[in-house]
Amino acid sequence: MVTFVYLVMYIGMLVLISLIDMFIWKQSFFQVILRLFTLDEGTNEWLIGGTVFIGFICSIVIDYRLRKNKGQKQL
Amino acid sequence: MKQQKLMEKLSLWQLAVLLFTFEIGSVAVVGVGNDLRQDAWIAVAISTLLGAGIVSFYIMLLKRAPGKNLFELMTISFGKWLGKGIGLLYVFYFFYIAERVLRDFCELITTVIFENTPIEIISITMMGVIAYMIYLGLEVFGRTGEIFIPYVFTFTILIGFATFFSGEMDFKNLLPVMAEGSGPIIQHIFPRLLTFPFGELITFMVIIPYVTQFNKAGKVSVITVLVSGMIIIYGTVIEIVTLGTEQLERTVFPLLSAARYISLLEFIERVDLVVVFIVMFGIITKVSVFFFAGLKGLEHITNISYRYMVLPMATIISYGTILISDNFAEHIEEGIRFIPHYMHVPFQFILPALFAPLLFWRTKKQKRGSDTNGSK
Amino acid sequence: MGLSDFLFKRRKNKKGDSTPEEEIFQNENISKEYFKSLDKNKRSLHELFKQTFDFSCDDIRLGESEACVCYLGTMLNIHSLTDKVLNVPRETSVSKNPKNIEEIRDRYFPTMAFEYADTFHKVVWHILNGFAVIMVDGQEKALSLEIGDTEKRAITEPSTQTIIRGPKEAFTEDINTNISLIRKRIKNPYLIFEDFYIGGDTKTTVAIGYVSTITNEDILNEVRERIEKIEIGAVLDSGNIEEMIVDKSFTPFPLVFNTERPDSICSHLLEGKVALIVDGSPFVLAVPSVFTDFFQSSEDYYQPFLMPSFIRIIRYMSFMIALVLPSLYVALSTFHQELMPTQLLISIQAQREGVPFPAVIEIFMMELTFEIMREAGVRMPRAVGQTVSIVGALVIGQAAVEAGLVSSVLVIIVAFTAIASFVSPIYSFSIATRLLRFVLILFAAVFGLYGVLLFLIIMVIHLVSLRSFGVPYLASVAPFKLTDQDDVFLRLPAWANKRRPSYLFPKSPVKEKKKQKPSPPHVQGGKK
Repeated sequence: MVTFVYLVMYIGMLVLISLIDMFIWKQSFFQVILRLFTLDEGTNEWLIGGTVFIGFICSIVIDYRLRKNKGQKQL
Repeated sequence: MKQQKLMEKLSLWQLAVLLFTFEIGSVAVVGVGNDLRQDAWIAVAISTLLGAGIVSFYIMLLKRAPGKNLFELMTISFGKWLGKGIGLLYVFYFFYIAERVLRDFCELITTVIFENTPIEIISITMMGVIAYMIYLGLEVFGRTGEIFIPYVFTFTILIGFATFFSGEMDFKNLLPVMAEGSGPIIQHIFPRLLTFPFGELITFMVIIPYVTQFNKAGKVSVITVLVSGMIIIYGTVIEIVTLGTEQLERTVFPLLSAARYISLLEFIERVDLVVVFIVMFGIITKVSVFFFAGLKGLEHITNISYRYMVLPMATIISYGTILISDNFAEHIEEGIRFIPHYMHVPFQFILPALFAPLLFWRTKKQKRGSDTNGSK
Repeated sequence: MGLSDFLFKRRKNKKGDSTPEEEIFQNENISKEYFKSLDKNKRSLHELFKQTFDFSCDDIRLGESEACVCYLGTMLNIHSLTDKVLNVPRETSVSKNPKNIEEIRDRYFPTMAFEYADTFHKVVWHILNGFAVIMVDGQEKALSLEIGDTEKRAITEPSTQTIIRGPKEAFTEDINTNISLIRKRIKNPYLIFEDFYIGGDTKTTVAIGYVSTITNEDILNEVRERIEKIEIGAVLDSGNIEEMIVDKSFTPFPLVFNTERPDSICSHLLEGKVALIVDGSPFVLAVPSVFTDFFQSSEDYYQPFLMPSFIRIIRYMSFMIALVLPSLYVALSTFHQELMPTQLLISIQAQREGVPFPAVIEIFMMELTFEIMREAGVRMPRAVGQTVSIVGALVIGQAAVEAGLVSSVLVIIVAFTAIASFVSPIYSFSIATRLLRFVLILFAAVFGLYGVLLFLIIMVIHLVSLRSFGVPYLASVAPFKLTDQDDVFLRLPAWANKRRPSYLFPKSPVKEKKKQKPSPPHVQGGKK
């Protein structure tokens, strides 16, 4: 469930950001998305990418733990 | 004593502290009404009064169903599924604003003080601190505010005095009053000034239900809004008289620029650090409030304790902080052209105005229903 | 009645009839029963104590009945044993024979403190506690006589928490002495001590003390619960207990107040706290304790109030200095030179010119050296102690600067930090700053001033989240209570300090009701 929420929030946030970018830059949706995902040279955007990936892993782990606890309670 | 442990509660004082730091948080970074030049403070004064009105409207909504937060109110008025759907929109809104607020701070840090630090590091570390605090709960959040408020308050006041005694103030800068008439002021107040520091208080609709003395919360919040409005006016006046209208229009971080004029006893110079501290704590409070509000929304939608979602969502916010715009110019551009009209106004005014009648109708019916049950 | 019975109010046991002795030995392989036959008892005692050299079992005759005196020779004063027990019976065997153990006691040992032991467990327990146990053939109970203790350390001046004005007694290692030190100061029938026996191997006596008319029941129950939960092998000092009862052990800050000053413990008791006294430890604990407790010395209350208030502010300042100063130096000198006043910057940089290390390495080196010196100074035999200070002052202080290894500003900073860290009246609190200082230096080295701010905010969040027995650690500051402020940062005069701290939820929140502000005698005259 946490993973699901995570994915919803992640995709929703991307869509929101690209919508605003579309409004500002008057570009098409795909251009904007492409621009979001290209790592600019000389910046440290990989750090952020890494963080978000860690967040994803975390949500999976939390989900696993939640399920395990639930199973134990039912037993 | 045992009860205290179980329930997450804020005291009235803690609520006031959080409201206050929330209000002056990002205003201390980017300032308000810079385009209005010497009339900025008038606009702030008017919008403070209007802001108090907005807050009392929010409180009135909350009083219809005591103990229920914004998301629960929406479920009451819109029904289960529609309520949750609109709740999800609010979550996006809260998270997005949290990202914007955090971005303000990151830009301040990286462009003015720590030029060598990558912006991503600031965003990640700040979100780490915020996630830690929110994970520990609302009580811890309130108490942290209590610890820092004396410093934030006194430093804010002292900056004014220090610039004054440094002889950098020129009160002629305040003149002429309303040279261009009231037109620009009114245009600036709505939607920008009304939504930016004041309308954002809609997030407190998630927090105020957790206050111990709920019936007094309304009064306290209105007073706090007025007080913080006065502090914002104070700050704006400092900025105007120190920087002068020309420089005020050009500068991005007015309070910091004003503070750089401070030079006392040839020793107290470059008090940037103090400003950064005020700003940092204000930003932490503000982002935390938005973050907490969004998390509570997710908790309401999914029925999972928000503590489980703190860490993943924190990473998303630190990600979004960098992604929302490529550079500071774009960030400001969005803040002026898009955000007030298409995000603040619908979420702060239109939606609440929409569900207010529904809420009144539903709670009325409920109250009547409970009355008849009681009589039977 | 034994001394311990006088001092402790026996705890009503939850498990019904079982006495502390039974609880203590319930897991051990010792038979419980006390037999009528002397031989059987003697045999099982010998079985239990056969390998210890200090156990003796002397046969005596009490009137016509066979008896024996069992004791651990090292646990009691052997001279008084001979005088009072071993010598007495022979002389008075003329008149009619006593029937039961009570009469025996009446006849032969009328003046001595005593207890009866009706189970074998009790017999063993009494022997271990230094009683002389007299077992008489054909009796259902044994008679335990308290002989008087062996040598113990005299009450001396406190060695870690010295003050200039105020009582100069300190707790000792003996629990009975410690309790009497407290009782001497609080003559109140509602001052209650309950005893617990903790430690599977050591069976150490732990007493909790409180004033029942003040202390909140919830706190008290919480303390009892936590103490009863403890199951460790050995309790050798109150520190062992401390770690088992705190709310959260992963923190550098001490969540339990410890002191060796009886007056300090008494003032805590009268505020509504609970004292924990562990046999064998001169450090008595007080719970729940809050952050501000560690900045208050008992002398604050013995001096006129203006100076202590000032000193308290100095203490808070020096806490911040001890924490932040080295990292500020690192951050300012490596990242933010522009934030320093120009003259200061020039003089610092001029001194740093020949130094071959970056500021972080430099300060880490010096701080580590200082920590090593401090540790060596504490552990060293006194006779060699002088060497450390000479080596420290000359070699590391002066020579290192002259050799150009470190800058002299840095030596000043390290020294000042070290002195500032000693200001906290409670030693275990100054340890916390030592540890955090290193982390802070690392943060400053990586993120600069931003890192320092970041760390301080994290530290405050952590502090605020701590609880000591359910009481918020920063209580009366966060959550803020205006009525408690009379004794936090400032100490108001005694007549203004009327309330007990509200975070302890005391049963009687007001200390003195009357208005007692002193004023000069009213001068009549003037108009009349």
